[in-house]
Amino acid sequence: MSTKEHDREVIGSVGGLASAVAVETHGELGGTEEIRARGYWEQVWIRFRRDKAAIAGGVFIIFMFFAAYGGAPLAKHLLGHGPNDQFILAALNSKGAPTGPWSHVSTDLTGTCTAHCPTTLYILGSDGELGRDEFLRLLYGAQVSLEVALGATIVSMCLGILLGSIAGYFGGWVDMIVSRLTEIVMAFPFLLFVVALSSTVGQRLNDITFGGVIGRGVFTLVTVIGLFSWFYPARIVRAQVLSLREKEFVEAARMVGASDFRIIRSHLLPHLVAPIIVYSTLIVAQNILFEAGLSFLGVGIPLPQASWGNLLEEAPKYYTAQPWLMLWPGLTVLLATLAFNLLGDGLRDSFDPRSSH
Amino acid sequence: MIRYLIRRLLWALVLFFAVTVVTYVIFFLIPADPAQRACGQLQTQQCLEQAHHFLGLDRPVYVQYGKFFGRLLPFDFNGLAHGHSPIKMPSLGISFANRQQVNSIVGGAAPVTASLVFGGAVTWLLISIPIGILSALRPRSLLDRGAMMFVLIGISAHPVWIGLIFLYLFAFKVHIFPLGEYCNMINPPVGTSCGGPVQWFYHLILPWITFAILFAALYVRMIRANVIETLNEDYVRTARAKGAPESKVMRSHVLRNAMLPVVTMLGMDIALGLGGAIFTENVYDLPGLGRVLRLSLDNFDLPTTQGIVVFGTVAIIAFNLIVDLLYAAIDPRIRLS
Repeated sequence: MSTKEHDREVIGSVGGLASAVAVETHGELGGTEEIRARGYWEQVWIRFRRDKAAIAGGVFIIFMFFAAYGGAPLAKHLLGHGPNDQFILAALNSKGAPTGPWSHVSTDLTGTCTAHCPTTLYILGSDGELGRDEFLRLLYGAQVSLEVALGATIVSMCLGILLGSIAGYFGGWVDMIVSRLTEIVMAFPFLLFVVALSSTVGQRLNDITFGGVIGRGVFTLVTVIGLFSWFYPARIVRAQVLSLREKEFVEAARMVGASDFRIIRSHLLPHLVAPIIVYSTLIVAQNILFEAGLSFLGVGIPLPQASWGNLLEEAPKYYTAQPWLMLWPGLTVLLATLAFNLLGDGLRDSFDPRSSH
Repeated sequence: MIRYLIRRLLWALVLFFAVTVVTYVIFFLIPADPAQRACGQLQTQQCLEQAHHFLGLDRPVYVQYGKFFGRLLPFDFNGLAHGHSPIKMPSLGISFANRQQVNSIVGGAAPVTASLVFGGAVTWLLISIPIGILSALRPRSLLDRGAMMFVLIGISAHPVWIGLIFLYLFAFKVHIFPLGEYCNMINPPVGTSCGGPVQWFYHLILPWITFAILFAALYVRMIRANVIETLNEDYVRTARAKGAPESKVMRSHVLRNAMLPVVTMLGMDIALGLGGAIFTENVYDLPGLGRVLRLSLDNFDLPTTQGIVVFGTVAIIAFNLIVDLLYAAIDPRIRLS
């Protein structure tokens, strides 16, 4: 038998097998549908759909965006006061403590009103001795938290991907410099530096809000956290690129004359999409905690801008009279972080089913 | 081994240099005017000029940095020229707030942080090793599911929040634990009952647990994954096939291998925890490095802030160096690569 004939026979038999399977599985559907292999993203989506916890995390994140950017202005409009408005009568109730949840507070600031005074509703009560609305501040705090967490993640991922891919792809002295730089940044006590930096650089960067698009102090935290947390993504990307650059398709691309930039962008980075997405999601969760922690220490978001961290800082002062104040900001931080962690874990399992046990 | 040792030592020196440059830039070049901060309430022209001169701000930047770096070194070359002993205490400067030596401030705070971090490390190991191993042996059991819930909450809840809730529940509502205070273990202040090892331990239980929860969660996950992975290794199957008793398989084949990465992580995480201690210390009012750092930030006390950052970094570099050398002594693969 000549090779040509043999080839034809093999192709014929493969075609026969495929059509046989098609007849078996799609017979009821009419048998006209073409068999189509499931694409990579489709498989990922199918696996992800089965993970209820991850879906719940994703839904909660979407809800949080709506609550922060739609719900907060809406609630402000409906309640008739803003997150920074202070009502002296909300600050102190009859027991001398900040008003509790669901109280109607008189908006009369002059103290002359005696009967049928105009009131405004404080859903979760007042945030402390200044008498600001805790509920509204939590909603506006969500904006700050999301902005810092996402912004810092984008900065650190961009830096990390850039440095990591350059180091991994070029190797040699470029790799040496980047790797040493990574080790130096890793050796720094991250938290101590971030605390120190945001207290010194903070005063200069806090007022950059890009015309009110982001909150006061957000830019400082994004810069500081981003600049000190790029090393981990850089290491991941570098390790992946190191093994990918020896593959045949990179050699082929180089042979047809593709530039280094093009090889990195179109041949290497698409392979890194999965780890980058997963890692970014988990980093967002971590950055939500960072923002809250730094604001709690008083070096994050400056007052009067509301943030979950500075609400948490204020709360312990009233632990005897209004212990609930300690619960809310911590609970929002917990839910937000949990949502991103669940989503990240779910994404990792969907991208790489072997990783789950 | 000697070559490895020298390489690591040189690298530690490079790191030390890099850290001091960065800290110097952050603290003395970026703030508007350290002299204003140094004078505090006394903003007269005379004070500002004196402060300028005293802080060396009228000199070129590299001279300023050189002096700062020289103070940090344990050698005194000037002293040698004048016939004194060349060895001196490294100096972190003098506080703007109360004219105290930063050395003594840091010296007082460091044992508190060390108590918290090392006690916390013991706590998180005590929590995570049994839970991690048991949930790996019974995947998808009730215990395993509970452990996974603990992991998720542990990595998502803020340590500050956990601390506040603990204080409220266990110290304010139910008076089991004290409302946060540090008791000196060795040299208690005269006239107080707060001192000695028992009180030290009792006052640190809540802070330890608070500090340990995040790491315990991470470790449960890591140990569980490691043990599950090791259980599937060929050598475990071989050991079982050869008829080794299950307890021996677990002890000398599974756990020995599964725990190796834990030992590696522990060194890094204790160093990391030195920074994380700042939250626990501020919640429980423990006068450690993190608490002093925050107070110094409130007072714009630059030398103290800087001193703590430099000391913290040096401690971490030294700790990492020791841990690396220990590993190299244990595992020949590391020092040869």
